[in-house]
Amino acid sequence: MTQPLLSVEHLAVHFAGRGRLFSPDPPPVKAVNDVSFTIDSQRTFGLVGESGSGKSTVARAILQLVDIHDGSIHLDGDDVTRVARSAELGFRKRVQAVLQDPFSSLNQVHTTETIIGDPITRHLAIKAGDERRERVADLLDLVGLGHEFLDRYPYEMSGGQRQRISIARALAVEPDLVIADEATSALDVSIQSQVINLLREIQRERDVAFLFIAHDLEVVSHMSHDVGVMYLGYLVERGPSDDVYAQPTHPYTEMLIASIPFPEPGEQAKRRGLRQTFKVAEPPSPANLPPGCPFENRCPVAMDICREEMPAVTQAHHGGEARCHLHTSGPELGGGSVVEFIRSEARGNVGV
Amino acid sequence: MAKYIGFRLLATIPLLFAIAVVTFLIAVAMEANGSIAGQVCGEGATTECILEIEESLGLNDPLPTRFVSWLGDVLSGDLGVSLLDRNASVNELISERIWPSLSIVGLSLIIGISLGMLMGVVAAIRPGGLVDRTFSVAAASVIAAPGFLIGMMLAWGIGVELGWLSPVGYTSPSESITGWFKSLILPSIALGMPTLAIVQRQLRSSMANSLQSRYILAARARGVGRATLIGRHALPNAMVPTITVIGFRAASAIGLTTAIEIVFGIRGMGEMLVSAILNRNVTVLQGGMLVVGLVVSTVNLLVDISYGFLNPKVRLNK
Amino acid sequence: MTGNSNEPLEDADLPAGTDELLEDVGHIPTPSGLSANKTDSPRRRFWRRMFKNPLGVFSMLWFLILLVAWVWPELLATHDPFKQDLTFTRLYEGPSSDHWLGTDERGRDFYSRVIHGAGFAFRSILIAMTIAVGVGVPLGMFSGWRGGRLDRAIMWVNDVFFSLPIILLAMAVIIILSPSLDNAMIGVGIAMSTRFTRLTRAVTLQEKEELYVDAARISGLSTPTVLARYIAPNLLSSLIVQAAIISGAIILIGATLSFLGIGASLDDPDWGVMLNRGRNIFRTEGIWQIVPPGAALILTVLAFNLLGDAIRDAIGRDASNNALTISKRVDIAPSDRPHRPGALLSVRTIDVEFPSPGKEPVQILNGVSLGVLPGKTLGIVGESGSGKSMTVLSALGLTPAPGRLTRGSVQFDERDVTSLSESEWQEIRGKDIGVIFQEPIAVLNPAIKVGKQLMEPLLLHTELSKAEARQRAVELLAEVKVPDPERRMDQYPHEFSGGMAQRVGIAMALACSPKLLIADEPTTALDVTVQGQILDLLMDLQKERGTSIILITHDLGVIAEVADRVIVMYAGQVVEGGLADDIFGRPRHPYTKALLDTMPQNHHGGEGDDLAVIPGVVPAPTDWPVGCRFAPRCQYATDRCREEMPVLEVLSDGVIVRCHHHEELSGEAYAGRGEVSL
Repeated sequence: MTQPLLSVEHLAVHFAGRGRLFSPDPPPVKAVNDVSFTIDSQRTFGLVGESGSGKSTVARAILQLVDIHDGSIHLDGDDVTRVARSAELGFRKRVQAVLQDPFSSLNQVHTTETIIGDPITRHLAIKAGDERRERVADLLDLVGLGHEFLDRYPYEMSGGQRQRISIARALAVEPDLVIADEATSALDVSIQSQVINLLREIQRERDVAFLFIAHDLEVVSHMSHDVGVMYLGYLVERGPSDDVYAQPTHPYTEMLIASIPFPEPGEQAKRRGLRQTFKVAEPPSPANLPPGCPFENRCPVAMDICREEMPAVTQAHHGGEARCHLHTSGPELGGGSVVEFIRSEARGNVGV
Repeated sequence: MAKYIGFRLLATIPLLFAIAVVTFLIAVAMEANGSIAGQVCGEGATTECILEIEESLGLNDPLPTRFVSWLGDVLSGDLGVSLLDRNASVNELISERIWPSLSIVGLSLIIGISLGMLMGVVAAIRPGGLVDRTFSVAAASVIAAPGFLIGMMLAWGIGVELGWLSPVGYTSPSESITGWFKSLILPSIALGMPTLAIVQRQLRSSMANSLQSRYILAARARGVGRATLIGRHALPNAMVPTITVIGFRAASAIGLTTAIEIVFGIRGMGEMLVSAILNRNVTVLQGGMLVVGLVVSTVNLLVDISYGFLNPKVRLNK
Repeated sequence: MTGNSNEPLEDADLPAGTDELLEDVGHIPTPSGLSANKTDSPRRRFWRRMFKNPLGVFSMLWFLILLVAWVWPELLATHDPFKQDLTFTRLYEGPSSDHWLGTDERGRDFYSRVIHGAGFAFRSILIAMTIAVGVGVPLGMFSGWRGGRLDRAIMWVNDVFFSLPIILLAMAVIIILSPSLDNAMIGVGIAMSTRFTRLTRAVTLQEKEELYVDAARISGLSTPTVLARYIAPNLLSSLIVQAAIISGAIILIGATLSFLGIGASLDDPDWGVMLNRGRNIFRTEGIWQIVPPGAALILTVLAFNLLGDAIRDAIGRDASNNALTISKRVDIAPSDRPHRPGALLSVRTIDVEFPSPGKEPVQILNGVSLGVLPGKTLGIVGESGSGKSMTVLSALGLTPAPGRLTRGSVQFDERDVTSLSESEWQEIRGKDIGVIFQEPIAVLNPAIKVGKQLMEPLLLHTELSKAEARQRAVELLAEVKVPDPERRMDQYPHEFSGGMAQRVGIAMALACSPKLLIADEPTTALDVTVQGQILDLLMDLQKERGTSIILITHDLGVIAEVADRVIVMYAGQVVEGGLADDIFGRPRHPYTKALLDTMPQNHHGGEGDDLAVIPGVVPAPTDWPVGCRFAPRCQYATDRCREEMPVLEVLSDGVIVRCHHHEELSGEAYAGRGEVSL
């Protein structure tokens, strides 16, 4: 097997609490715990989770924007867990990002030419001038914007156009990996599909790998070859996107799928019963995680062991991994799908 | 809440220590800048005078020893003797001078805060309306005028020309309560006017912000009436930054009362400090600065505590 | 008082309002695209606003005069300001043709002395400001960028100095160095630097969190580059405002020190010194001696403050309307369509306009009609800017100012409510109509306990006593499945998660058992797993109570879940409406069909295929096409669509549609949907 482009092993990111000068520090927020996955070149790995799941922190850790508590990150076999300042430029050229909010990810005081041109000057040593302008124009072609956008400021553009500029900026230095962190979440439905299609097209043309992060499982599984599902800092399930979607091995994944609103009244009515088996409870605070599984208090099929012990990673039927006691204790599903089990259990509980 | 107050109290201790160190260093700096004794005793200074002053300041001891003995004296409540008048203890001097100053500052704050809040709320109800514009021009002009200038105009207009109130002097409450109050009116208004304008502007601006919040729209959608929206919903939130500003203003009023006292010929702390600076009267300066520092720290502590009352986040998280 | 970014940035010596420069959250929505004039660059808008503001123009003119008085005083002064004339009759002379403002106690020309005073004022500003900016800005930037313990320590020391009276700090420096105006200004500069440290740090902290700074770092730009090219430009505007206001404060403090006799030397033509002289004699010689220097002082400080205000207003957004502002009453043209019989709420052909200075008002709703039957759910779906929220706000008499309802009619519970007064509305809102908003935490008042807020509508609209209202509130919380309701009553909004806060919002809206519940994007800000639970809750409550619901959302899936009937809005108009099964099963409008096609849910399983797209963007209200508003993005559009606006037609099965080509679409069976997995 060839070496993966990016490999993340046992990644953990904790944020120290910040008390006042003369008060004790609050406990650290454990944003990411023991997360491992790989991305092969020219493939897309999707990371899905709700707010507070730590998915964006994973991106920020790879991008060297936050301190890593534990674990390691390798890019093409090189250790990039903590990139030295001298090597940072080289690293930045290989890993780029498109960030969430198209309104704040572009500096209002610069024109498109500067926004996209700055990294070109920095990495490819092409000074501002005709050559750089031409390159920027080519990139605008690539993301489907006209050359009249060269001299426009971000406030003169719509959300979708700004996000295209962000994509052009990420591609300007010809990276191997682009991290798209909620890159389509702030956009209107009709614009979202334009940007998703653009990203897929770029992957076909530019041979770039994506780490695609979003809270919408539908969007992620449409974009990605493989997906990981995060809950409260843990990667609870990982596998090929179609298999995870069809036969999930973690109750939380099943809950996510059941919660996706479908634009069809009949279908929605069917999913309602299943969704109601999940308990109403607040997820625990990442600063104060329980000893057991963090999903335990919302899980319809939680067992005693779930309260006491954090489940270990087990092999799942789809070739990926799951982190759930159901596979090793109780029903001992052994990595199989949890769909049938939850449905029969749920029927017993609430009589759907 | 008790825990929060406890933390704020603890945080005050290093602040007080820092004030003590700075106050002590004032004497050191002054000495480095020319012999204090020489200047205090005047040109035809006798050796006796100089020796006596140097002895009383402990100038011949090493610095740490001086600091420890000075701090010991201060903690036991002894601020020393005035260098100019060897019979006057600084304690007595300050206890005599502090009441006029505190009275003026106190009354000026009462006037400024109460009227300022009232006018701030009224102006915020209709931003850009006639009342708002009138108030904001008036407030801007008042803020631009130093308190002592307002004081002189009041002393001249109401004191001299109209003769309603005495333009000069201070009556102690032990002599006459009404006389005391009358002697405070003009100085307090002079010091309180800028306070009023500052509070008005801050409250108006934070009320305007607060009234633009979604929770106001939501409350309106529940059928909540205008008065309740302003008084119960917007005001508590707008008070948080306003309280902070009131605290800063209270501290600076303590400094600015100096000029007011001079305008009205009131022998208060400020007047004492200014003449002590000009006469290089170190012990009085140190004592005065220390007491003013203490008062300012107390004000800040009170602000922090009321902040905790108004802002549930501060109280509960820390 | 340790580095809390919630605190105001200004302090007692400075006029309020600098905090408005910093971003604030949750203000009242204005229709998108209305305020953003695409041809108006921020710089041009800034100068246009500056010159339109009379106070700004006044302050700029005054500075021009002062500048001349400072740089070239001889041009304005008529005499040597130091030349004495001790002839007895020449002292305290009144204004004359030779001495325009008279003479002072030594017979010096008063006018010339006041002119020369400008130099002292500017010299003070120069010294103090150099120190204040030179120390404060780098320190604040460093502290904010660096963060951590060092930041906290720096800010603690800074705040100690910040809270000390400036006069006292200036005195301390004078004591140590020796009394002079320049020395005093060193002290003032140190004191003022704490203001700049605070401001710079607050802005740096805020900008540091902005995504474009992350983006710059990801691009590989070095820290100094990021600070200089990304943070500094965004800091500049706040700094200039702060500097203007602080300059005024510096002059005030300088004058106070000179007045006390510990600032400028007693012979200098300094305004404070002149006032000091005036103090000694106003009781006997009258007030005149303090008028010219006093006026010069006040005007200069005022000019600085006004300049600061003008700059801030020219940069900032317009704050002249708030949620209390009731939009102006105009004559409302009646609707030509009859109300729907039996409907609980019936809205007929309403128009809403926003005035646009110097131009035609911008219409943002155009002939919107809707109706909801008792016990039923109406869904309104559309993208941002389609006018869906504006429609219901306007129906409730809550049109955000300066917008106004200009046409149409609204009927609620058989009663015409189109032009009710605010107090009449107060009887209905909260009692017969409950509203749930999008951001559940932002709509709760952060300073009031949740229980108290929940009791508010009960105390307002029912006869319940306080104790009974509390009891009822606890029951309501239990009804919306908030765990541990007794304890939750005494908590503050920030202690609630979004999902729990939305349950409180629902309880509050349902408190008085309203006949109609309006839910404006109730789940948009929530996680998807919580969204489902909130929708379930709404539907259960509706079943129990028979409440009518209007649900506004951009998410077709959410609509499909709960709505009986659906209205689709685009660019301020209704484009399609009907039973949910019809709309989702057989969309008749190209926009509805395209929206359904773009959803990834309808593409599942197809690895290689791209999503369907709607080309282009939703146009701003100022750019709405004359013909069909969807025509520029529509694959069915013909010349007729571009020229003639289609009317709403009622089809045989009750579906309404606004499209010239709906017959073509009706014929096509909607076949784009793939296999659904659950």
